Amino acid sequence: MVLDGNDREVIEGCQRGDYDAFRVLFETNQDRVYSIALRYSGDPAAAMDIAQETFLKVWASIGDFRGDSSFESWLYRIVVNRCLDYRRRGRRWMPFLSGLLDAVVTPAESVLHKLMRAEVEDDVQRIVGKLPAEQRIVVVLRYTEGLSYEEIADVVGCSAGTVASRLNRAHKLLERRLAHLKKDARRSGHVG
Amino acid sequence: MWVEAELRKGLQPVRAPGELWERIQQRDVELPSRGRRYVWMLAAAAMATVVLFVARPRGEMRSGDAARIREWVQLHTGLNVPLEASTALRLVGAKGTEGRAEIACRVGDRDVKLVVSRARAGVVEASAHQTYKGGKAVSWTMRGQLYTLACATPEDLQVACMLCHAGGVRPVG
Repeated sequence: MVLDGNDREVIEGCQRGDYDAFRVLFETNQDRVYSIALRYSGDPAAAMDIAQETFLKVWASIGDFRGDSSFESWLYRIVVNRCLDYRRRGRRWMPFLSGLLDAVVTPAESVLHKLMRAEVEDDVQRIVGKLPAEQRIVVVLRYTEGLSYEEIADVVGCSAGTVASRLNRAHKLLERRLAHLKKDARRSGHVG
Repeated sequence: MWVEAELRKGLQPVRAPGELWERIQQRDVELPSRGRRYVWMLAAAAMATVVLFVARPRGEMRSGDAARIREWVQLHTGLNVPLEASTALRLVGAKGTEGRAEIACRVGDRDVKLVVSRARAGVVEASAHQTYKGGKAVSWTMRGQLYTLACATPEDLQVACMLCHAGGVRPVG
């Protein structure tokens, strides 16, 4: 992705130490960073820690960003490294329940449906959370951020072929572990 | 592929909690806060002032042009040295710091150096001849500036006067 004039202005502002520019950069990217952290960790508290550390790192290192690659790639690399570092520090991941809780507190006619849906998503998140770190991060970048194989390869620092291989292995593992969802998927027409 | 559809739904992006920004600001210790940044900016400005006006860095320039050297000396040392163009000697360049300038030239194949500095307060205009590294030197004060002209031979002193007196006026004394 090529930086437009505003993005460049914001980044240059950050590089000059302009805290207001940093706030703009945060507002623009907070959902993206938090989503990756949450989907990778499966734990809102851990995701907050990772997102916080990511933005602190961005603020501390923005002077090193030279624009050789896109800002998004640079940001993704930071959040991915924070995720992997956080995991390596051996924090205990808590079960991901926020989706389930959201469904329970929704007072509507579709509570049962939402509850079931939340349960399925919770299953997906829980099982993704059991993938090896290098597979999990490519799965998150692919399905949370919708990045292409090439973009993931650029962020993770491997070839697009390696990304494809990791995704393929992850898919096979997830197919086995999420087999109980296949019947529901057939009913909703997602079987491919 | 059904698993991909489930992954897209199960891993969809979410909104960041509102307290994330507050969490980042809480770690102000690691952030260069506005206050501290201003302190650093003031410190940098003060340092720049010192560099520019108090401790001007040493510098030197090479030129054979009297007007250019005079201008450079004034800019870098604050001294006004009334150099004039002369065919009897060849200007080489100058170096200097605040309040002190050295102007180099050559008479034939011999070096001549004119050192100019601010005269101490209360020093009246005077002159003195002395030996300088086997050569001759003459010092004098004029309009609050101390001049020292050093040459290899007494004859060169006469020529060196043309640095400021192209008409060939003898140095004081």
